[in-house]
Amino acid sequence: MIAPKRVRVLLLVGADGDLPQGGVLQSESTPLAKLFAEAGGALDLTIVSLGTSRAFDGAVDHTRLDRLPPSHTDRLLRSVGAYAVRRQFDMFPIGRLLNSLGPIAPSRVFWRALMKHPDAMQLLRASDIAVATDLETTKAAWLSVHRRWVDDAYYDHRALALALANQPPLSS
Amino acid sequence: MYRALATANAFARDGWKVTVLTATRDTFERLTGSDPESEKFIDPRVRIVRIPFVPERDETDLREWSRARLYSPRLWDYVQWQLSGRDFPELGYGMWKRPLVAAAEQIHRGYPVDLTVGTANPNVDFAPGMHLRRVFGIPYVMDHRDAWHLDFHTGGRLGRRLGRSRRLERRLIDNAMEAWFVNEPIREWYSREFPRNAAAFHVVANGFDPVFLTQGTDARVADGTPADPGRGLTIGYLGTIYGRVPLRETLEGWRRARAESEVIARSRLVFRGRLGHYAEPDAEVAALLDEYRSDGVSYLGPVSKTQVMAVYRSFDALVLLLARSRYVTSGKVFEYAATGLPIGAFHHPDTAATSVLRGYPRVFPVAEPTARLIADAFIDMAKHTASAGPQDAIRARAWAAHLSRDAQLTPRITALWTRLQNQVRGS
Repeated sequence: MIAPKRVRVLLLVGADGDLPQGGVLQSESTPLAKLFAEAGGALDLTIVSLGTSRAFDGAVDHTRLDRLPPSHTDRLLRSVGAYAVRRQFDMFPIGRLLNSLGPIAPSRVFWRALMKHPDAMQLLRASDIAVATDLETTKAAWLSVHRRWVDDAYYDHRALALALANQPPLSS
Repeated sequence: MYRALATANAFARDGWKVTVLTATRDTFERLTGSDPESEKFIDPRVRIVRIPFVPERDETDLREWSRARLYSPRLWDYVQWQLSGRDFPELGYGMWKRPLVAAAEQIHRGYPVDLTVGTANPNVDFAPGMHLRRVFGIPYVMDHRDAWHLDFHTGGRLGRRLGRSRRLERRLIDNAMEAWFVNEPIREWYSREFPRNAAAFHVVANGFDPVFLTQGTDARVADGTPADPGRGLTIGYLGTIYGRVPLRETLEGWRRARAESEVIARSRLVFRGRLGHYAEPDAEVAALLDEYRSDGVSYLGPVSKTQVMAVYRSFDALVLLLARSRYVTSGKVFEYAATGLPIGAFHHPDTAATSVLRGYPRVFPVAEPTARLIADAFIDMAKHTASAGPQDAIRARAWAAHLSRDAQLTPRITALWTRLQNQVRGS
């Protein structure tokens, strides 16, 4: 008898992964919760994060992008003080809007870190579904589905809370 | 949301045939967070018509996101926000006017409507009532859960006096059969703004919903079993945390109280509910709570209304955090009182909720929400909680009985029925 194909879901977690999560009510429906329900346990969850120290008990693998040094672009941006400016701009709405337009937009920083990490890229290409858990990771998930590395990609800001709570039947 | 649910149920119980026009479940799940379990409490006689809000804004399938949205989701949101006010002058919601009005008209053509009740915010919810009044002469009621142009913090007016939304509000109020407000200060403010319509303004306060407070076996709260100070107390907050609530002051006060009180040093401060008004948690609030994690502070996520009793049962005392405003009552103050638990009222005495709790036998207010005064109140409340007996909880709950939602809603619904009957007889 042939075992049913396991669905490989990659959760992309940005810099806010260490913050307390908003949580999800058991009865609420989110894209990740639907995937869990549809897979009926035949689902492998892997995590690629920018550096959360949280433990994901049910995940098959957790790759941290911050374990490798930043890209040349990011080192250059840091050396000219762009990150310090971003921190200041993050404190007010227009500043956050301006931050989102330039090279230090969190989504671009995440994408560069992902591209620089061969293991993470391999994980992404080997996944069936990519789930962006915050706005910071939407660019990576969007590009991966448009480049056909994955079959589907979702933005699900409650996915991390769901994965942390380990509510659904994760893979053994 | 619970006020709207209770209002529809109250009309249905009173014999009205009720149709609720609302957004799809997806809308609530993606934008504000939802509580699907509470749907079980909708009166079965109520018919629900759901229409989508703004499909593209809710989209979670990233294949459907445009390059522009991906380039800067913030800029995309900002542009959408600005465009939303074209049909109805309410940023973020105005674009819902057309689908709402079309759906309301369809409902009316299927089964003629006698009265429309719009509950806001969003204020675009008043649009169907205005439309049915204009086209078919059907009266409408404006139920304000907030207030459109009142700045809750300063008591001033939001927007320009002759601005588009102000002119629309005037037109809405001029044509409304009644306008409801959640407390007297807001009603007074509206009476000053619209003096010639003041007779149509009524206070329909929030209240606690007994049905949610009797869910599950209410072992400890029901019999008022005293807390065990030896194991430490669990002091809880249940509700949405948003706006200018004295959260940092409370956390700092808690830290000080732990240093000064052995009971509190063994105790926990637990937050339940949503962080902010949107489905995405407010990162600043989350970070602030996290800062005090080592002080016995924990955030345990939102709670379905159907589970609130179980959560209250796990608490020995409550903290009520509200922004300073003579216009803020909140909904939770009524529910808090109905539990009979001690309440640390850590808001400025000016806040409208003060008057709701006046006379409650187990309230621990502060003269000013500073860390020092909050620490003292925590210590006093812990002493009281540790020494209280079952009679204290029973007495407090008996006092709160007058704060039920039905006690607020029923008189107004009866009055509306009488008015409509008189109109029919007079015509």
